[in-house]
Parts: sequence; structure tokens; C-alpha cells
Amino acid sequence: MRGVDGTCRFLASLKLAVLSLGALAGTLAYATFFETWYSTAAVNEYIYRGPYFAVLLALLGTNIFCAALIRYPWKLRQTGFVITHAGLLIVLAGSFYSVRTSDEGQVGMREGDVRNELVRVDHPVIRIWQMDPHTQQYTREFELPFLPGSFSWGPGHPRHAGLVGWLVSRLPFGGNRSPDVPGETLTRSGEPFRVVAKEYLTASAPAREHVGEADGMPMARSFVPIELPPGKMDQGIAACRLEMTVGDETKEIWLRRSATLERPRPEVVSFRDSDYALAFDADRKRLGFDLELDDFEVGFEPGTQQPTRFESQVRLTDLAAGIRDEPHTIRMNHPLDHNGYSFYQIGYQSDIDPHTERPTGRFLSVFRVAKNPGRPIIYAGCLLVVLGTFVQFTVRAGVFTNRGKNR
Amino acid sequence: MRRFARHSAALVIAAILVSGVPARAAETVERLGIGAAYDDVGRVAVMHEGRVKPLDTVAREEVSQVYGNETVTLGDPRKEVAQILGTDVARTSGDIPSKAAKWRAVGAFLGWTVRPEFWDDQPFILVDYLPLRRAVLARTIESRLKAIADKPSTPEPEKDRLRSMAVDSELTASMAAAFVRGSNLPPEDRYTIAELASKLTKGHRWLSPRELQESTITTRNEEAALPFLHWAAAANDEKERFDDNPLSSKRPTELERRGIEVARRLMTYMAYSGDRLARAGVLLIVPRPSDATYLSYTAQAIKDIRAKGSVDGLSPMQFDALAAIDGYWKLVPREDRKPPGQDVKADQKFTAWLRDSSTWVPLKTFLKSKPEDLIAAGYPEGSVRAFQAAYHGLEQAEVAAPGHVAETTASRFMTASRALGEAVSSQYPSTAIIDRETRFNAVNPFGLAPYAYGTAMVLLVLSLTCFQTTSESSPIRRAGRGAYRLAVVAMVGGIGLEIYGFYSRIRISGWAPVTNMYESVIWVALVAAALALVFELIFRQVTMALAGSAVALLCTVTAASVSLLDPGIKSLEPVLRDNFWLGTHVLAEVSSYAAFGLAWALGLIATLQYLTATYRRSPRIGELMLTMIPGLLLLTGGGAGVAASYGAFGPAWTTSDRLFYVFAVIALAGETLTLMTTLALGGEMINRLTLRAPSRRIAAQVKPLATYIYRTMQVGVLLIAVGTILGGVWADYSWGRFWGWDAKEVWALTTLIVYLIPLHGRYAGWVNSFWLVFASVVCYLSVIMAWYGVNFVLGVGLHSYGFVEGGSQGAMSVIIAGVLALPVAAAWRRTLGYRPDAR
Repeated sequence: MRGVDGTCRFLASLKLAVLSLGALAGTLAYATFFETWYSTAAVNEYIYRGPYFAVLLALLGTNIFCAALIRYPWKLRQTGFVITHAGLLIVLAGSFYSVRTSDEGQVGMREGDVRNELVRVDHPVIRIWQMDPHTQQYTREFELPFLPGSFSWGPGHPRHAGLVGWLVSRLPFGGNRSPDVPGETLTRSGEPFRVVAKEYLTASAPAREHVGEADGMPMARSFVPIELPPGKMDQGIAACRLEMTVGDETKEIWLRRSATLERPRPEVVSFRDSDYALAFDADRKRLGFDLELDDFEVGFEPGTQQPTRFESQVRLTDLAAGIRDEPHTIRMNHPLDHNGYSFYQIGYQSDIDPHTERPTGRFLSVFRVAKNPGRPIIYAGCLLVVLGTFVQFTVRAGVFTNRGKNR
Repeated sequence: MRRFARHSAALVIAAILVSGVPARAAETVERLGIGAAYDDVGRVAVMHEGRVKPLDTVAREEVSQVYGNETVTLGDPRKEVAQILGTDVARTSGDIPSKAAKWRAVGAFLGWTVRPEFWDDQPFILVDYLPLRRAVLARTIESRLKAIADKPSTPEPEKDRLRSMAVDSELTASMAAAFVRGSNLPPEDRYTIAELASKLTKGHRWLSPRELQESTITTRNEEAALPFLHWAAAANDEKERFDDNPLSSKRPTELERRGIEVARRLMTYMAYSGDRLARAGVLLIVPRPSDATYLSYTAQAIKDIRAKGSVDGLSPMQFDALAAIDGYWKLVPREDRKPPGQDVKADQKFTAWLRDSSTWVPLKTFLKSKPEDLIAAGYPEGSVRAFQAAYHGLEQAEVAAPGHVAETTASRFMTASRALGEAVSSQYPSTAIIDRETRFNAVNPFGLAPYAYGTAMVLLVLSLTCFQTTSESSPIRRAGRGAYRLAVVAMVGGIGLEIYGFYSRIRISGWAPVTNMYESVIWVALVAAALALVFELIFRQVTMALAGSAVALLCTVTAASVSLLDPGIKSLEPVLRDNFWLGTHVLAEVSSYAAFGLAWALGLIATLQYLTATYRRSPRIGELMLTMIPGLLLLTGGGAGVAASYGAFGPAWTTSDRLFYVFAVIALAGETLTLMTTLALGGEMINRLTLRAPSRRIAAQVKPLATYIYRTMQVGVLLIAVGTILGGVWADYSWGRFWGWDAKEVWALTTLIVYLIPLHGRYAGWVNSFWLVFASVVCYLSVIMAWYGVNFVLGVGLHSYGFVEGGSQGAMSVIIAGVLALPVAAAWRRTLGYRPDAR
């Protein structure tokens, strides 16, 4: 019993508060440098979404909770303290809920386009279509989730297991540098083929030499890594090398992601029994309603390349809600909300022809689409934190009284 | 005795401050380009960098960019030569008196345009990096010295020296001056050498456009000698490649980086000077029409060029119209690119773009066009002719009497320009708008504020020393009270000036304040001063006002003197274009920096008290000196390592980034240790000389200060919590993400957490007054990181650029390490003071 009491006291202690605050501040500071050395994707994967950070936040949450609980029944002068700490707990709980329930992606449209799906750019997938040998029509579609991480890997560069694995690999003689890596099997049992990812490049460029196949099939494309400057590692176009096995026949293929939000051009691999089309794409999720872009405009400061505004005129159609061609304007700081989703104008892309990989001279208006049911909880928590801090500092400490003078 | 020491210290401070006022130069100075005429020229509206502003602002911005100051001073070259020769001016050049000219920005700017033949030969292009100046002048020096050496009149023993000096790439002004003083050359040759030497002195920071244009510079790999502008363009390409991807190109050398800056200055001058048509930096002075006439004029120009197949034979105005529509077509989808007159909807869009977003027509294009052509483009005939006549009148007047144009001539130009602008554009700025900005430029409130804050600070220091007198009725004490009241008035003055400044900036730009680094610095000054004043009025403890005025002074001086902080009113990122969020989130965030800054300054004041306080025992000098040896060792070792990383010792492997960072940290630690030992010794000395009064207990002295520090930290924490949360709400509102772990928001959160640590520690009773004071100084590091580091350390790195460029990261690190030495010194002396004597 004494042990439980001691643990509770420790969990509620200011010592732990200072310790966890210090650890959090240190981690955050390190994280910002980590980001500039590698990339935003890397810091998200290894630190902010890593287990260590979650444990740290959980510790802080427990500490706040115990610190507030152990002081029960609260005295009047502790009002500010209780409100602030309750607010912090609500923020933490709201963030946890948000992480579990929120979703975000992007939608890119040319003028005249109608879209009904959002591209979850942070959720890459390998899309495979089985083709009819005669008509070359797609007969079946498979979607294989593929989370390759934010560093390149492949022969000689193994994939790191989280921050610790990565740190170990940085040590001299640390980590596995053998040229043979097992790869990552993407298919589950029961699927008519087996796909193993053998290599992944965060930033790729087409290889100069195209290797022709012995059986006279068209030349396959391949890619080589390009080295991007520190902090911009995630700004290239990713590519991966897959090994596909159908029956006893195994073939290798390189796939590259699309530079825009459009679907990439699939690569066709022929096997004895049938052909398959493969694409390295992102998960595409149905919105449940249609959005059509009528007009998109960018405004610039006269004579400069400095944009001043982006503005899209769209029409919303949601037959389930009885809405047809309802006009809306989406611009910076003025999103469109519908059915839990919000559309935010974040900029534009130059449209690129998927076949020639050249700009078409048109623009894609780009929206970030997000859904966050946890938002009200976080807002309520924040409000309490601010209110509580204010009460704590003014009522108890008396910032605006003359106690200082009296001293 | 001690009182005497204190008062004499105050007198010494006052004397130092008074002696800082520069003595008036003896030579006569003619002030040019001043008066109502030039004020009128300054009131002409122009479009510059995407914004319509008075010519006064453009002239100030461009002249400061080119010359380094808004007023161009053209000194008498004979004076510098005389100094080298060690004689006086009159003896050097007969009896013509020495004369210097001071050109105000508008006058100089007008002169660039209409009198290039004069300005081309004046040294006003800032080249403050001596090796660059030497590289630019190398060929001139070589040819002139060799020519003198080849003269039969030159004494034989001096010929060899002249020839060796001619090719010496390390030639200094003092070497040449020493030679010329001891030589037996004829006076004209001595004058030539002295003139060359004068251009290599530290004080001579400018070269003329001609000197730069005619120079050639050898490339880095010594492959070729290129004309200056070609060399700089090549270096700039290389630098852009390096900035884009450091792996793809070599790091530009200091000479190249400075050369690029100088080339930019030269190009700016060249863009305005003379009547050549240049593309960059041109003076856009007339709005573009957006009516049907202009549309058909553009359509005709498109037809003409399609018929001819080339731009030859197009009029300047036609060329300009084509450039405008070409620029427009780049912004719209391909299917909208239709010549005017073919599609009503496309025409409407183009008209709207012409009205709202197109650039104005350059002055030179307008002047070079025939009136008939301009009338065809949609300008009213009367206004066109009046404008051209008025401009030519101004031009002739300036050429006839440089710097002394008559007011009527100038005002005629201003009126004609306004009449033309109002005739073709409904958005031409009103007189009130233009006047507001020229008034703001003339008053320069943010330039004056440091004087107000500085006065307040000096008076507060004086009053603080006077208040140490025990007798209530002594005249010194009364003087102190007077000084205190004056200081409060000066602070209110500073705050008033800043409020006026911010009000004007908001009216001019249309945006809530604090949209860039410069505004954040002056905003912190304002908030720190205002917050300190409020606390001062509540608590009446001089230290609060002193800390506030010190922070405000530091910030306003930094804003006025650091070139990195650009005071120009620039356009905003689309996402920032929201006054509500700018006014709430950004102001709360930046105001928290001010509150923490106040805590920092109070902490430094308290640190000084700890540094000089009387403790249980007085530490021995030997004890205090203990840290000097490791400090010096670290400083030397680290310094040598840093020098090696810049290639001082040769081998390529020593220049790695990793080595640089390791040694930089070692050097900075060494700096802190060395400085802290010195400061601790200084504190001990002051204590022994003046303050050793056993009755005065440090705890009693510092307690109120610690309380204020705690309070200001609380205000800061509240503000930064509100600011950070509002930032999240704004981010959520504009792109649907409450928290994206962006470096700026992470550092705001880190700062909040860092300050929560001492606040919680104080609550628990672990942090006593000393450690709270210590924390107030040390925690400010995280504010510096959030404020400055996110922009200039993260992503840029410390090793990319030199000591004072990019973000002055090197200088900043040295200053921070130096400031940190203060609390560390106090801690060191205090620790020894409480430790039993080992002896």
C-alpha cells in the first residue's frame, strides 16, 4: 500500500513535472534540428509520431492528472491551477482522439474537373490491376498498403527500426550494411501473386540507361537516387523497386509516384498467364459528394512573382443531401465546409502530362481536405488553459496589486 | 568615500556619452537636393516592388541600398590624398578650399537619372570589403604604378619597389603611403600614388560606377579575368546553385559573396541612370490604362508583331504593351490566352488584371514614346504633352543647377504626373496617402525612438546612483528625483514615437503590424517599454523602467543599424493576409518576447548586483582565476579549429562542417569561461573598492527584483500560451491543421515549456531568487531561438555563411556566449563566496 502511495506521490510530484517538461523541451529542440538535417517526413516518422514521444506525453498527462487529483479537495485559491491542468488534460485527450479519428488529404483540380475523392498523400499504396489478355481491360484491382518510411532503403542501406535503430546505424560500425536485404512483402496470403518491395528511394530520377529485356519485351524504366539537400529529403519524387511473382515466374519492376495529385501512369508487366498493370499511388478515399471547379485565379503583386491570393469558384453536388450545383468560393483563409470535411485552398500546381512528363500550361488548384472531429475538444481545452493561467497569475499572485511596492 | 566613487562613476558615464557626439568637420559642406522642390519631386507616386509609393520612399530605399545611407556624402578626394601625403589640402592643390557635398536621397536619385555623366565618376557605390576593393582596383594600380616606374624621371632605386608594388595582391594603403612619403618622385606622381593609396584605406568605402565597370576580376580557379559584372553574374549563378542544393556546387567565397552584393548595387544604379532602357529596377511612374482603347492598342501590337515576326520597329510603348500581355498570359491557363477583342469574357478578365495587378509603365518608355503613340494607347493628349514637357523642364533645371531645382519646376512635374495618373487609373493614390508616407519618412519615428529610450536609460542610471544617498533632503537626491521624472517623460516620448510610427505603417501598408522581422523587433521595443512603464507606475522601483528602456533601446538600435532587418514595407504572403489573426496571434506571440525580454534585462540588472555583492567571505583572486586556464585553452583550441574549418591551415579534410560545429562549441565555451572569469574578477574588484558594506544583505536587495522577474515571466507565459494557441487556431482555420509540428510553432511551445520550468520550480521552493535570476537570463536563449534561430539557424546552419552575413550567425553566437558569461560569473563568485575558505 505504501508502495502504491509512493508511486502516486511520485507521479503527482513537481519533480516529475520539471523532469518531463525538461525532457519534452529537449526533445522538441532536437526534433527541429533533426528536421533541418533530414526532412519533415523523417522528423514526423521518427520523433513526433514515434513511441518515445507518445510515452513522454503520456507521462506528462499522468503527472498533470495525479498532481491535480492528489490536491483534492481543492481550495479556492487553487481554482486557476485546477482549471489550467484540467484544460491541459482535455487538450491531450482531444489530441489523442484527433489522431485516432481525423483524416486529411489533398484534392487537385483543373478548371472543369469534377472530383469525388481525396488523395491521402501520406498513405502510399501499390495499385495492381489484373488485365484481360485479349481486351487489355482491367478485370480486378488490388490495393496494397505500402509505408516505406522517410529514408531510402535497399541493398546496402537497410531500413531503420525507429529513432533508436537510426541512431545506432549512425554509429561507426553500427547497423547492417550487407548488400542483401530481405525486402518487405506487401501481399497477404490468398492473393494470386506475391509482391515484395526490394528498394525504396525518397527522391528519384530516371536512369539514363534503359535495360532491355532478353525476350524482346519493351524496355523497362528504372530509377536512380538523387541526393537532395539537408532538410529537403522528402521533396523529391519517390520510387520503388518491386519483385512480383506469379506462379513460378518472378519479375522486377520500378514504379515512381506521380509529381502531381493525378494518378500515375501504370507500368505493365507481362506474365505467362496474364498481364498486370502496376502503379505507385496514394490511397484515394471517396468523399461521398462531387466538387466541380469552374474557375481558378491567382493574384500577384503587380510586376512581381509574389502571389497575393488564390481563389477557386467551385460547385458542390451532394445528391444524398439534396444539393445540386451549389456555388462556393474557396480562398486562402476562407475554407468550404461540407459533411465534416473542410476544403482549404493551399496553393496551386503546374499541371504535368503523365505521358510526356512536361507541363501542360494549365494549373491544378490544390485544396487540403481535412476532417477533425476532435477539434471542439481541443478548442475547449485550450480555452480552459488560457483561462486557468490567467486566473492563476492574477487572482493568486496579484500581478496588478501593489504588493511589490509594499515590500 | 564610497559615495564619491559612485558619483564619479556616474560622471564618467555622462562624459563618455557626451564625448560620443562627433566633432564637426572643418571642411565646408554643401547640402544639395534639399528644400521644397525636392520634397515635391519626392511626392510623385511610383510603383516599386509591387506597391505604389512616393518617389521619396523609392529614392531612400535605393540610395541606401547603393550607398549604405540615405544621404550621399561626396567628400573632397584631395583631402584624403593630403592625409596620405601628410600635408594639408591647400598645399596639395593650390588655394582651392576643400569642399564636400551632401546629397539627400531624392536629389541624388534624380541626379542618377538625368546626370549620369557626373554620377558615373563619383565614388558612391558601397564596396566596404577591402579585398574586393583591392581586386577591383588591381589593374588600375598595376598600370599606373608601372607607368610611373617606366618614366625616366623616376629615380632608379624606386623603380623596382614600384614594380613590385604594382603586382602585390596584398598591397595596403599604409605600405603605399609609407613609400610615397619617403620617395623623391615628382609631385604629380606622388599625388597619383597617394590617390590610389587613399582608395585602399578603411575609411574610403566607396568606388565609382566607372571604376567598377572598367575593372576585371580573376575567377576563383584563375582561369580567366572577367569584367566585374560578368564575374559577379557567374558567381551569383554558382551561389544560387549552392543555396538551392549545397551538394551541387562549391561554397561561394567571401570575395564572391561581397562581389555579388556590390554588383547588385551597381546594377541598381545602372537601371536608373541615363536614358538606356533597362528591365530591372526601372522607375514605374505612369499607371497603365485599362480601357477599350488600350485593349485595341494591344491587339494591334500583337497583329504587328505577328505580321513582322520580330520586335524590330516596334515602338517602346507597343513593346511595353506586349511585355504586359505576355506577363498576363503566363498567369492564366492556356485556353484563356486570347488577344483582346476576340472573347468578351477573356477581355473582361484582362481588363480587371490591367486595372488591379499590372505594373505601371516605366518612365523611360513613356519619355521615349511619341505623344501620338501614347495617345493611341489611351492616354489623354493634354496630360501626355504636359507630363513630357514638365519632365524635360525638370531635367534641364537639374542639369543647369544640380541640386538647386526651383520649386515651380518641381511642382509642375508633380502636378502633371498626378493629372496623368488620375486620368487613366481610378486607383491612383490620393495626395493624403502620398503625404502620409513622405511625412512618415521625414519624421522617421523609429529612428528617433532610440534617442528617447537612450535618454531615459541614462537618466535612470543617474537617478539610481543618486538614490543611493541616504539623506532624503539632500540636493543630490532631489536631482535624482528630477532625473527620474524626466526619464519617465522620455520613455513616454519613445512610446509615443513608436505608436505614431506603427499607426503610420499600418495606414500605409493596410496590414496589422508585425509582418516581418524588422517590425517584430520594433514591436518588442514598444511592448517592453509600455509594459515596464505600467509596472513602474505600480511599483515605483526605478529598475523596472531601467530594464524596459534598456530592452527598448537595444531593440530600436538593432532595428536601425542591422542591415538584415529591412525597414521597407513589403508585400505579404497570401496566408498572412488576415488582419484579425495578424493582430491577435502574432501580436500576442511577439509581445511575449517583450515580456521575457523585460525579465531578461531585469535578470541582468540583478546579476550585476550578485556579481558585486558582499557574501559570507570575499573570494580570493587566485580562486576566482582558476577557470581562466581552461577557458583560455578552450578558446584558443576552439578558435584554431574554427579557423581550420574555414581552410586556414590547408588540408581539405579540416574544412568539414562537423569539425566546424565541434570547435565552434568549444570556442564559445572558452569565450564564456574566459569572459566569466574576467567579469567575476571585475565584480570582486568593484566590491572591494566601493560596496563592501557588511550591513547590506544581497537577499534584501534582490528580492523585489526577483519578484518582478517572476511577474514578468508570468505575463510572458500567459502571452505566449495565448499566442501559440491562437496560432494553432489560425492554422486550423486557414489550412485545416491545428498543430503541424512546424519549427516555428515547436519553438514557441518549447519557449513556453522552458519558462514553465523555473515557474514550477519557484512554486515548489527549489528555485531561490538567485536561480530565478539566472533562469531569466538563460531561458531567453529559447526566445532567441524561436525569434531569430528558426529563420537564421535552422535550415541555414551556422557554417554556410560568414560572420556577419546571411543572418550574422557567427556574431550572434559570440554575443550570446558573452551575455551568458554574466550570470555564470555571478554564480561562480557567489558559489565561492558561500564556500568555506579551503585555506
